[in-house]
Amino acid sequence: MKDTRNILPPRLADRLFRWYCQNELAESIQGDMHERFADHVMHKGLWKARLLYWLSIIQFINKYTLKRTHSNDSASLNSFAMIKNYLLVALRGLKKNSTYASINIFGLAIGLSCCFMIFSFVKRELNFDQFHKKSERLFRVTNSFEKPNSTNHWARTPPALAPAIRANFFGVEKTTRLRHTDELLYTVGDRSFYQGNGFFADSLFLEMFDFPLKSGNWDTALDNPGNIVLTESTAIKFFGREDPMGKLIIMENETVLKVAGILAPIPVDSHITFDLLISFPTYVVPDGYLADLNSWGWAGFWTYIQLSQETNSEEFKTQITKLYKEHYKTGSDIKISVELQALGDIYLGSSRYTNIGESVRVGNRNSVIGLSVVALLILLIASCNFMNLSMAMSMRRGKEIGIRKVLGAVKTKITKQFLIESILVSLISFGLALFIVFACQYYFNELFDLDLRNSLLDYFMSIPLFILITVAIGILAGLYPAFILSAFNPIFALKGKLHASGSGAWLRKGLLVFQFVIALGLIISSVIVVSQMDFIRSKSLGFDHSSIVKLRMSADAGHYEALRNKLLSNPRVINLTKASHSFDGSASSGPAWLKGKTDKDSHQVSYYQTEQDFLDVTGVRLTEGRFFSRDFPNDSATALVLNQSAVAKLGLKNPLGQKINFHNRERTVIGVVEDFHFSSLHSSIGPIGIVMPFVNLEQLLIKVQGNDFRQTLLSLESDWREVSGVLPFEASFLEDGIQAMYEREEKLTSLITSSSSLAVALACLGLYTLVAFSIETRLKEIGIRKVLGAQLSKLVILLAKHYMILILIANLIAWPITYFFANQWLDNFAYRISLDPMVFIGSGFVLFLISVATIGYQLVRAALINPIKFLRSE
Amino acid sequence: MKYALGEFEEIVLLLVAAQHDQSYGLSITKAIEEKLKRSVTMSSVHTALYRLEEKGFVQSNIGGSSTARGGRRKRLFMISALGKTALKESRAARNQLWSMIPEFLMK
Repeated sequence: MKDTRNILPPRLADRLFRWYCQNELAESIQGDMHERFADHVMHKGLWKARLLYWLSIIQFINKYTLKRTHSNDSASLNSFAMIKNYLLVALRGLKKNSTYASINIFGLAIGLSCCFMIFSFVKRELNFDQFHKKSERLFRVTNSFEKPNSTNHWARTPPALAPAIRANFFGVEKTTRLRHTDELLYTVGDRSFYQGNGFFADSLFLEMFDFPLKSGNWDTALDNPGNIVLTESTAIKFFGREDPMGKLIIMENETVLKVAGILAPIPVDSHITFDLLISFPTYVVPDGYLADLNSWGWAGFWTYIQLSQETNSEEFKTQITKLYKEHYKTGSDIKISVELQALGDIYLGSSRYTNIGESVRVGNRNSVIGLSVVALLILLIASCNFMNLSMAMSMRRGKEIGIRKVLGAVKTKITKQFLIESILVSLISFGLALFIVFACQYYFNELFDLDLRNSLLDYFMSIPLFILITVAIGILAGLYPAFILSAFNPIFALKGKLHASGSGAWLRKGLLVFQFVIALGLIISSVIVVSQMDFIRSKSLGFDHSSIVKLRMSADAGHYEALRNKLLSNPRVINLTKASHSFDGSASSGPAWLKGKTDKDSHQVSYYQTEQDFLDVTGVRLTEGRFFSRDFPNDSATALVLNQSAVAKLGLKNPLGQKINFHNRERTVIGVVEDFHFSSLHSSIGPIGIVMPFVNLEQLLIKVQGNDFRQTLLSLESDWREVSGVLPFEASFLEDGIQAMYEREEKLTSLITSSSSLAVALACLGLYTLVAFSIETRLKEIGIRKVLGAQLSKLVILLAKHYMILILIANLIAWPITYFFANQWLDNFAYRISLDPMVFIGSGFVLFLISVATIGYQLVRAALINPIKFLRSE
Repeated sequence: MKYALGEFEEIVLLLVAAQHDQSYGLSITKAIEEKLKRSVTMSSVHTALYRLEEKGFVQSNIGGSSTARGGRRKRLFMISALGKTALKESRAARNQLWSMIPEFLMK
């Protein structure tokens, strides 16, 4: 028979008992049960004994065993005292290792604050237009044209749509149309201003949207023809310090407007931005346009509707589509449909639209996602750093743990201690991060044109979330020391340092590699992103935009001739031309079809109006035929120059001499030019038909020479004064305009680049402290090696070796991952750079150099120590 | 009744007194099983002991341990003065009742 004394009752049952019974009775009850179990094993056999044991465990559940008794009260008092002690010890530890601790805290704080700021930016981007109280019920009506081989999405709709919706449907409460004002001349007293960035708006506009008025009545401000509402800054520009309410403004020397309201500044998170609003009845269709306000084919107006609470937007959409189809007759193979774009979706969800129009902010969802990912990665690196360093520092505390254990601390108490300590440190970081955020807030607001007031609120709203994240990081960082170190046998722990071997070392190495994989991935990605962006810009602009001055002039033809002659005699001017669009985002288009076909087979082609000298000014290249010429007086009426996209779109094999119906007139193709961007890089280059001006253009493009741009502008202005007298001189370099258009992209790109640099810096900071720390613990070893005759170089190699190996491993992991993602991303572009292996190797090498520089000083200093200093105390 | 004692409680209290300073949960359980031939769960004995302690009939203190108990100490129970009075009273009450039974009936 087996020795029954060694057979123990089921452990799970015991655990169950210890779990439900936590009072002073537990010990004696369990002892009784064990004793009885031993009896049972002897007399009734093992299985029956076990069964009976389980049974009695369950039978013992009663009010006496479930009660948590008084002894816990003293324990909780005690644990309060212990927490005090933990805090004290934690603070002493921080003081003792102040350098490492401050680097640790600071690193996490940087990561957190960066994440915090990016987070509030992302939040702003995601919550565009939410300040309108009725934003849930506001929709922009857009439309799409589905043809057999292509689909066009248009953000703007015809002028007849909004009145028809209001007249025909009950489910809609309010509608409004917007028409962009272009740049117009406004005269106040004896002063004139060119001012663009405005809208003609239907009277309900201010009732639907919550753009607050500073003065005036939102109910009636836009009701009467001739009413104008200015933003505060425009009012100051026009009237200075005078009270503008009720004053008169003359628009384009003919229309008299009366100021009926002053708007508070337009919030930065509004997708429509404007400096003035003019009541819609004031709008007159310009001469030369072949449509009127009853048109169903002129997609030049934004239509916004406010649905009643009960209306289902999906059903409503199909109804409007029906209405649209009734009025807009097209070929049967074109499928028109109407889309209702919820107000909150407009900002980030407009990338598919082709005629977005001016004064509309368009966000980039991919950039927002990219930025969030970068922020997350930075946080990851920062928390890896934090964990790594916390772990390294806790390794030194073997003696403390040993003594605590000997003095009766149980494992859970030590676990608690390390967790509390780690959370405390992370919370200190959080406090510092808040401080950094507030200190950098001004700069940050500038960078993202955030509204200070709103974003402050955002900061506070997201603080709880960030405290949660911080505590989570603290717990993660505390987990290793809490559970591994607390489990050490106190005898080993007391004997000396806990060795950084085993699972801990692997974990730390793993974290280090992980950090460097992220850092390297970010470096490589940002190099690729930047070069791809540069590539796209240089590739697809398609013309030489340097040294071109854009100048506003009056529409008067005589004025133009005089100005032209004057400017051509200026030695700084190479050539000049009128042009309808100035690469600033505006565009207009019309249907074009081959002679002999009908408008059923039409293609939407943008029209561009300009003159004979256009090619000289812009450097756009002619590939076939000729451009407009003064030798052919008929050009102005019938000639048409297409770009290559238009030739492809219309399916022309032999374009020259083809008769094409474009802009309601039959025209002959006389030449083909290379594709060039004339509107915006946001939209891809579409088909363009270039014609001689059919309306009086007000914009000159002047190619100038010389490097002194200021002098150039001054000389142009003196020419202007001679010819034009008091008319305002408004000139700017085209480059600046293009720059302004891509400012946001630039900002985002630079933000991604600088964030990755920050990530690299953080990773290196982590490496630096880790190396410094581990060298400090190895000083005795180095001393002994030196005494035994080790060379400096060998020592450095010994110390550096495994860090270098880790960085190499990081490289090997980062390359394929980054390659994969970069390739995926680049495949989204029509024109893409090929992935150069040098980018990968180069980035790896740069990171390698940085890390060598980071730890080199430490290594050499350690290798140069005087061994006596560190060996004598033993 | 001044000293409320249930039937089972009385048995347990008697055994605590009988075993003097060596009584603990298991020993009483065993005694009930062996002397009274009555099956009983250990938990009910413990419960009875705790209830008696609450009423002040027994006092407990921590005693020695043994290997079979995995080093866990026993909780030893001693009858208190109150417990003794309760037992005596209960016995007197019974005796009085016994004496009321006509003698021929129990012959």
